Order: sequence, then C-alpha cells, then structure tokens
Amino acid sequence: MDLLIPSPAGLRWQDIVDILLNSYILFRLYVLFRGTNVIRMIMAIAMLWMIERLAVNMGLIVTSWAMQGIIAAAALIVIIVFRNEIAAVLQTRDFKSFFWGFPQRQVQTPVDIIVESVYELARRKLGALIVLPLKKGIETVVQSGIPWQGKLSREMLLSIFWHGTPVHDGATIVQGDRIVEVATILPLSKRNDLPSYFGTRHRAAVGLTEQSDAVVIVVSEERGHVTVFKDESIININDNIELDWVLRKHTGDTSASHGLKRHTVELGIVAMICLASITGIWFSFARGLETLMTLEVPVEFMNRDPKMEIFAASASSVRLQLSGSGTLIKSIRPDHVKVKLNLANAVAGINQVPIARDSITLPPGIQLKKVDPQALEVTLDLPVEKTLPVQATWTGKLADGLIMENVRMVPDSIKVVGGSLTLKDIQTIYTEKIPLESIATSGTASLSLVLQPSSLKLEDGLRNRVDVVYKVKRR
Amino acid sequence: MKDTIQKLGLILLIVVVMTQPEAGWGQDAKASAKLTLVRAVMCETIQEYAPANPAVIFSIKLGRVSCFTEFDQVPEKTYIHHKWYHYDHLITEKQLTINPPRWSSFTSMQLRDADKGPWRVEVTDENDKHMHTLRFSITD
Repeated sequence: MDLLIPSPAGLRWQDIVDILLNSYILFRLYVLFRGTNVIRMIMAIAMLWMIERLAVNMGLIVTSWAMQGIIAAAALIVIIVFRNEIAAVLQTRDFKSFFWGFPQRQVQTPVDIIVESVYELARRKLGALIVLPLKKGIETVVQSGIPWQGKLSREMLLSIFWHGTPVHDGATIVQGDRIVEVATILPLSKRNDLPSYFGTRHRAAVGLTEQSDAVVIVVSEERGHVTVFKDESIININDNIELDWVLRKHTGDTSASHGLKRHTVELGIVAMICLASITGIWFSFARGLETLMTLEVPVEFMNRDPKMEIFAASASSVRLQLSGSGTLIKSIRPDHVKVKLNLANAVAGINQVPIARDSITLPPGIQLKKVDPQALEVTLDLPVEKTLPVQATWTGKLADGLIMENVRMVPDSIKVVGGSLTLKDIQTIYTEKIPLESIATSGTASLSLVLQPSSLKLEDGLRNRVDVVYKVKRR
Repeated sequence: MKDTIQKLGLILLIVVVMTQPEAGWGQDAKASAKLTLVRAVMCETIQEYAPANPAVIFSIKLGRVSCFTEFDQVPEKTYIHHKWYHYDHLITEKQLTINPPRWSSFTSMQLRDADKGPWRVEVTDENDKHMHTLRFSITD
C-alpha cells in the first residue's frame, strides 16, 4: 500500500502516469481521426462542454440545461451522421496504428508522374477525371468505386482512361503513390453558373470540391483541355509547368522538408493541448475541495479453514468515513469499496479480527479517515451433529381441577447440526410454547421446534415439527 | 523346630482355604445386586413417604415441587444425586444417601416467579452415571 508515496509537489507517481496515459489516449484519438469531419465535430462538442461548465459555474440554469441537451444530441448525431467515416477510419488502420504507429502524412504524391500522364491524356484527347484527396477524406462523398490498389505510373493512368476499357468512366482516386480506386461516381454539382462547355466530368469535379478539400484534375475529351478544381477555384491549365505548380501548391509538396517540419509542429502542438486538457481535467477531478462521506460497506470473509464455518460475527458491515474531491466522492458506488477480512489465522471459537487498512479497497484518489468498528468478533466453529431430546414448553395455566400426569414427545429426540462449541452447552431442544388454557382432555398437538441460537440447523431432510401426546386427569 | 514350622504352615493354609471362598462369594453377591431405580416421579408434595399428585406440569402457586426416587435392591450404602436444571442451566445439585435393602428419597425446590418454564431433574449414581431424567414444567 505504501507505493502511494506523495511527491514533493503533492503528486504521486500514479497521478503522473494517470495524466500521461490519458493524454496519450486523447492524442491517439486525434491522430486517428485527424483530417475527418468527426474530429471537427468532437472539438465543437468539447467547446460546448466548456460553455456548459462555465454556465454551471456562473449559475446560468437554463443555459447549462440547454447545453447539456445539445451535447447529448450532438454526440448522437456525430455517431449517426459520421458512422461511415468512423468505420472507414477504424477499418483502414492496422492494429499497430491504433496504439503506437507514429502518424505519418500520406506518401507524397508523385506530381511529376501525374503531370506527365495528364498531358499525355490531353494530347491524345482521352477524357480523364483524377481525384487527389487531402485532409478531409472523401469516403462519405463518393460512391461505388472499384478497388484498384495499383502503383501509380503514366502507363497505368493511360490504360485506365483508354477508350473502351471497362473502368474508363468515372473518377480515379490517387492517394500517395497508389491508385486506390477507379470508376468512382462523384456527386454532381447543381450550380447554374458553370461554363456551358463543362461536361459531366467537370460538373462532378465541382460537386466533389464543394463537399471536400480534394484536388480534382479533369481532362476534356473533346478539346483536350486540362482543368484543376480545388474548393471554389477552377484553374485552367495551359502547360506542364503550371499544372506542376498548381498540384504542388495544393498537395503541400512545395517543399518536402518544410511539410515535414510543419507536420511535426502541428502534432507537437496537439500533444501539448492534449496534455494540458487532461491535466486540467485531472486536477478538477482529483484536487477539488475535500468532501467527507460515510459509507456502510458489507464485510467479506476470506481464507477461512474450509472445515470450519462462521457461526456468528459481531457485525456484518462496517462504516467507513472517506474523503476526497467532491467529484470523486460523488462518483463512488457501494461496489467500488470492499472490506475483505482474512481469516487464515482464525481458530475455532471467538476471534478478534482487526479491520486493517490493507483489508479495505478504495477507488483511486479516495482516502480513508475512519473505520467503525475497528475490529470484528467472529465466531468460527467445526460443524458437528448431535442428537438431543425434545421437551415441550408449556405456558399459561392448566385448569384447577386437572393434573397433567404424562407427556410424550414423538419423536422424543432429534438430530441437529451446529458448531461443536455451541452444541457442547445445549442439552435439549425446546418446542414453541403451548397454551394450557385450551386443554381440557388428553390429546395430541403438533408443534414446531425452537432452534436457538439460529446457527443451529436440523439434519437435512428433517421436518421442523414434532407431536406432543399429553394425558390429563381430574384431581 | 522343623515340626513347628510345618504346623504353622498347615494352620496358615487352612485359614487361607477357609477365608478365600467367603470373600469371593461376597464380591459375586455385590455384583449381582445392582442399585436399581424402580420409581422416579415429580410430585406436588410428599405425604407419608410417598409422592402426592405426581404430574409433569406444576403451577408456580404451589410454591414447591418435589422429585421422588425409590430404589429396590440397594446392595450397600451409597449416594445418588438429584441435579435440577432450568432450561439447560444447572440450578442445584443435591446428594442423597441410599441405604440397603430398599430406600426412597426426595428433593424439593422452592419456586419463585422466575422459575417458570421447562425443567428437568437428572438422577445419577455416586459415580455420576446417568440413571434417569424427569422432565416437567412450571407454569402460571
């Protein structure tokens, strides 16, 4: 138990591990979902939560209630609306990337190959639609492509868009240095202000850029013109150099070392934010105002000699006075706290078992102030069988003119099971009380037995009833 | 001298032969005549050396209750005990002398209000060997 050594700053090493571990979990969640709409929604929910806490602290009752409702609804909406995006993130990541794989930006797209291929397609007037997804991802926007997973090359791109191939219709999606999907259907834009010479490919390119941050390259089949679409920009490309410059600008490939540096700085900032957030949350949970609480906890006995049984205990529960921050104290449930007494050294008879600190299991961050009682008296005994005579217990007054001259019990003795020490002092089993007032003649009565102490039991299968046959006569 | 020793030896032998069977017969007689309890009852009182109104339930208003025991074939003077128990608590133990050839004896208990409830009297011999148990109740 004395692993809980407080550091000079008042923090235990467990607290530091607690903060670091949870910061890392938060950081990993960011890494997994970065670039998706889910992370933006989660950040929005976090902002709402902060507003809700602020409203609570300021005593804004309706605002805090409203925020609570909005947060609950927003959490549900995120799961429902972004279920495909969440599933895509979870399915595409391997096991290692969940816990350790350091986040790498996608392999840099070989812009040279794309530029070269696009101009070859334009020269041959082969219509083409090429999509380069960036941060946001396009899984929720595009439909029913054919998985390809081929290494990007000029020849492959030409083959895909060659007239008459089964996959030349639709868009080809390029991620890093791979063609991941072909013949993909993109959403069409409903804009009315597009140039009249724009065909379905151009409209699809605009439709996709309206809903994502992807870069889309369109090669016109009729005119052999190249157009690049990004967000709301429509860039007509005149030559290779311009296409190369535009692609590098939008895919972040203007300088590889600069991109890596920016990427590292971004992750570093996120890591610091995660650490600061978790530290704040930890302190608000664990270092709040000290609150006291008294809890009645049932006692569990363990390691008793299997031959012996517990026949009595001075108490079956103990009262624990606990302290901790208000948040932690409020979150305690009875099953979080356990009192387990070790009876390994107990002997037959009465044992004084102290309730030591190491017998009590408490949730992290909760301190024990007081235990009542500090010891329990536990009676252990070896169960034995004993045959005891049965005697009737009479009460009231027999009529003056009568004498009860004989009483016979059927059966006259009975086998009971109980602790050897208890049974040592018991010589008779008595019946329940029989009122004498109602007796005028000889007769028989059926009675139940009084087993005292309650730890006494009848032998298995025995009925707790005996008959008393009595004989009365007149004086 | 030798004659004298022979005569003394003969006299000693006669004495041993004459006395030995008698002692053996005495032991056999004692063993066969065992102390026998022929009657044990609880009663309201003792009248003319006999129990009056034997019963198993007695009113507290009687003020007294007695345990009467009668022995036949008492081979020798001996002792018995009457042990009075209220519930399973020993209240009193009384030693009684029993004389041959027959003997009756009794013990009594003065009743108080707190004595209501089931009682028993255990009769034991001088070696504390159980002979009989009488069960009775004191009521209103």
